[in-house]
Amino acid sequence: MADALSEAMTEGPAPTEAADPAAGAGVGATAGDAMDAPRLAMYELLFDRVCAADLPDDVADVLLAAYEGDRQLAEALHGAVTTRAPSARRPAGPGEIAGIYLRSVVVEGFRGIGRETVLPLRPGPGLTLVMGRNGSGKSSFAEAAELVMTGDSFRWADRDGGAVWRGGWRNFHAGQDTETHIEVDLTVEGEHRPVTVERRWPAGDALEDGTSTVQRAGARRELLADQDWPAILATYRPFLSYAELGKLVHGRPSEMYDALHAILGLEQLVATEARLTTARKDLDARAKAVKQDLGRLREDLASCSDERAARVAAALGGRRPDLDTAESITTGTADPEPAGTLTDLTTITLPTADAVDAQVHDLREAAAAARQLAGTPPEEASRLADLLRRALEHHEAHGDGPCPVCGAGRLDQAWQAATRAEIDRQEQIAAAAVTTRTRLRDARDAARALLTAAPDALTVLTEPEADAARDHWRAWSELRTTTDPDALADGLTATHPPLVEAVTALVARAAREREMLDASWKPLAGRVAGWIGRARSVTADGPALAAVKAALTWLRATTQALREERLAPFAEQSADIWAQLRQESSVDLGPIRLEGTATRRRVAVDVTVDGVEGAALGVMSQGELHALGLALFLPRAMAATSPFRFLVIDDPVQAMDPAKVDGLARVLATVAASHQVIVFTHDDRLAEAARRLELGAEVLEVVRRERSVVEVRQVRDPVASCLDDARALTLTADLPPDVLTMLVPAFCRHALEQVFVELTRNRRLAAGARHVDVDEALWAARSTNQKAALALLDDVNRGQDVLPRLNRIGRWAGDTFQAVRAGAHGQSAGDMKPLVRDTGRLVEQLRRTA
Amino acid sequence: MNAEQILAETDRLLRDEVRGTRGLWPRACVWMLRLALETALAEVWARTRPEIARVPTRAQLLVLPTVVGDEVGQRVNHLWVTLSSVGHHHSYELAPTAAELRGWHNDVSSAVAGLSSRTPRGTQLARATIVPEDA
Repeated sequence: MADALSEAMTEGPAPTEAADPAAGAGVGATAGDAMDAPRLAMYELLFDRVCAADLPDDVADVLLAAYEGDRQLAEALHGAVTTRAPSARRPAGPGEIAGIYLRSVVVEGFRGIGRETVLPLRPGPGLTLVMGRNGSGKSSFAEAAELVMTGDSFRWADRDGGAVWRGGWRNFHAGQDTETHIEVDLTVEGEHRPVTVERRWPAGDALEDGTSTVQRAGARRELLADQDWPAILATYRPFLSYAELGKLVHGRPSEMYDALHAILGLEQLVATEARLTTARKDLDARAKAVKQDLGRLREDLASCSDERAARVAAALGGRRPDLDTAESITTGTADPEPAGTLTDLTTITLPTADAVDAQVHDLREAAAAARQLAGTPPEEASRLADLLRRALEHHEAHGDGPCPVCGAGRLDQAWQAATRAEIDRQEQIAAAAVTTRTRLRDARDAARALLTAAPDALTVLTEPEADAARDHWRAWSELRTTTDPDALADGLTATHPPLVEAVTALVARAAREREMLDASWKPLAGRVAGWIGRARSVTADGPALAAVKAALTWLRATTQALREERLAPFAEQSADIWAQLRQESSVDLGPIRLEGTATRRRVAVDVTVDGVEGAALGVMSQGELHALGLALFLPRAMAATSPFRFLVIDDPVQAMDPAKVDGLARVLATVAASHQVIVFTHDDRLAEAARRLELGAEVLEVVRRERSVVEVRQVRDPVASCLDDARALTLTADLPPDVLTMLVPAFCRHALEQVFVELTRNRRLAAGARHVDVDEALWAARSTNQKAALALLDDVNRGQDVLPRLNRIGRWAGDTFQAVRAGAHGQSAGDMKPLVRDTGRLVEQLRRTA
Repeated sequence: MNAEQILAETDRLLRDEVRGTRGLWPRACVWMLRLALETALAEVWARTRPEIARVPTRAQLLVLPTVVGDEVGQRVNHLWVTLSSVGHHHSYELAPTAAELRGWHNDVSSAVAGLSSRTPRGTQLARATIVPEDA
């Protein structure tokens, strides 16, 4: 099956995500607080389908919340759901929409129009053709109406040409001091007085400076931007220009998709889908980020020398990372670190130099005291005191007498006193010796108490500083075996300072190392803690993600089904229009479909050329492509849901062959049965076709004088208008008579030529001739006489039979014909009124007898 | 009216809003421009060979280069054909624009001046065979 159109269109530049206007359209951020009628209607529809689909509760909740808005979706994803059943309020049906028609367009100082000019229109269904040459100012009316109603114009918005167009928006002839003014008068069904949409630009204002206002009878002037019209106009675009249609058919597939999609009224569902997609992306992105972060974290943990890093890495290493263990390590609540590390040393204590000095001092004093006691052993003094105490006891028991030991001495009162004193002296000597000895022992013990063994932390270290420290510590602790107090004191004095120095150096290094480890570990620990938090939240979001995914799948299918349902009538209309427009084209148009999503969205049309499927759009001519554009977009502007019952079409006839112009005229007449169709064209063919096919079109002609003076006048048909012109000339007093004698016959002759062309065309086309052939025959008939021959005798070469043929009508007919021909070359005089009257009579006669 | 007078009237139609000419002035201007050209042509024959004025315009134009030279002759020829075609409304053309008319006005004015400067009174016309068109 061929979707050549989509193929052809996919070649354009890749559309951007942001190009999806429906994603943000129409849904206020405060949705859910108040829904307007269309939103409510769609909510009802969605609610019904969700109920019918029997979706799991969480999926249904997420769907409905996503419809309501971002805030509601976020709440639903966190489990807080307030799903509302739709209220009973019914939205207005299409039949209740008040139709809006154009009454007039008034333009001053804009584009090709200088002073204020009115384009009068018949409000109500019907076909109006506004004709004028390029540069006559007719398109200025179309652009002005579009600009004032939509605040924009296709040309203005166009990226490439917009800047150029914006540069010349003010009319040059209106003068720099003049205000530019555009006014569109509308008839709104049910309102008795016209509604005026207006925009003014005082002198000096830029194009963007103006704002459109709406004035209803008896009401205050309001800003157009505050109305819902601009959004509706954007959706249905009743302003169609050749350039825009071309751009839509040739442009990005996504733009065409959006243009068609907008009319289906599904933007709420698209917005819902966009919200769900965003939510899914967020959730996915978070899960993915957690996964990626874990990878990086593992790398960094591996390169961190801190042993905690290694333990955390082990905890997070498996397929299912042990978050709890990792967390307890990072927060320091895990088991303390094992011994044997340098960092242990920070707990090592050594006696201070003062403490050691004090001990050395004690030791040396005790030793000195002990030396003084040398020669007076305390035991001897003690024994002597003991002996003397027993001698005193003997004396007390036996009284004075000779000494029992030596026999020479005498024990008496004097001896007793002296002996008592001697006992005290000896006992004092003995006591001092005991004290000195105890003190020495205590001092040695105290000194030895300082001499602890090297701590475990020190023994296992391998650093060079540790060796020195260990040597010093060994020397220190070996002092315990020294018994001589002076040697011990010397040892202490000699060993302590280097030991302190070595240990201090080692501890300082340990502290530095600890600091370094902390510097690399602390931030890592912080990251691990943060990651654990995110990982837990991702795990917690698992069910929400599943619900969002399920909601998306269901919503996409539902939207697609609704899309097809709603597109069908439009597609049918497009096919009908194409059937009328195609005329002699060999291109068949198959069903139109909206396909793809997001950046891949496009309009798919099956194109069959000469019964061969799969043909590309390249085989279609410019005119055919344009007709296709009309077929696709006329139904949009005619949607029953749009209040705008008018269509402004700028230059639709370009590049169309005559047969298609007939088709277009018929299509427009069909549309005009229900809509006000205003067609701007620089081409007379549409008016001619409309007249020939008797489509009842009103024709307006726009001509532009020098200095941008634009005139609009009604044209009944070219013959009648030529006669009107001739008649008007005979009545004017502002032209010299000899100018009139030149011009009046010229207009009369033109009227006759037009009626001959009309008669020829009507007869030959009715007989089935091809448009191109008829045109060629008319082109070949150059003179008035030749045209008459073609019309009256169906043979351009029978010029000599024209006058007799006319004389058969009456002598006056032949005379009039001759007078007109002669006068048109400046060869007539006298009263022109009878000539005009007779020409009119001849025209009537020719039409009646044709 | 001579050609200059017709041109002056055309200029007025083009420049001012003459009463009674609303909407019809573009076509009126075309015809008057053509008439100005034909009048200037008639003046040429009146000064040189009055009998030629009686043959159809197309034939007169064929002879014209032999009288006024190729450059002016061909310019007049081209202008006349253009104005005839616009005035006769053969195609689906709508009324010409003011800018087009102004351009033709300038062209016709210079052509008229060219015709009169190249054919002072008494100019002799070279012998030429003129076949009258079936009128």
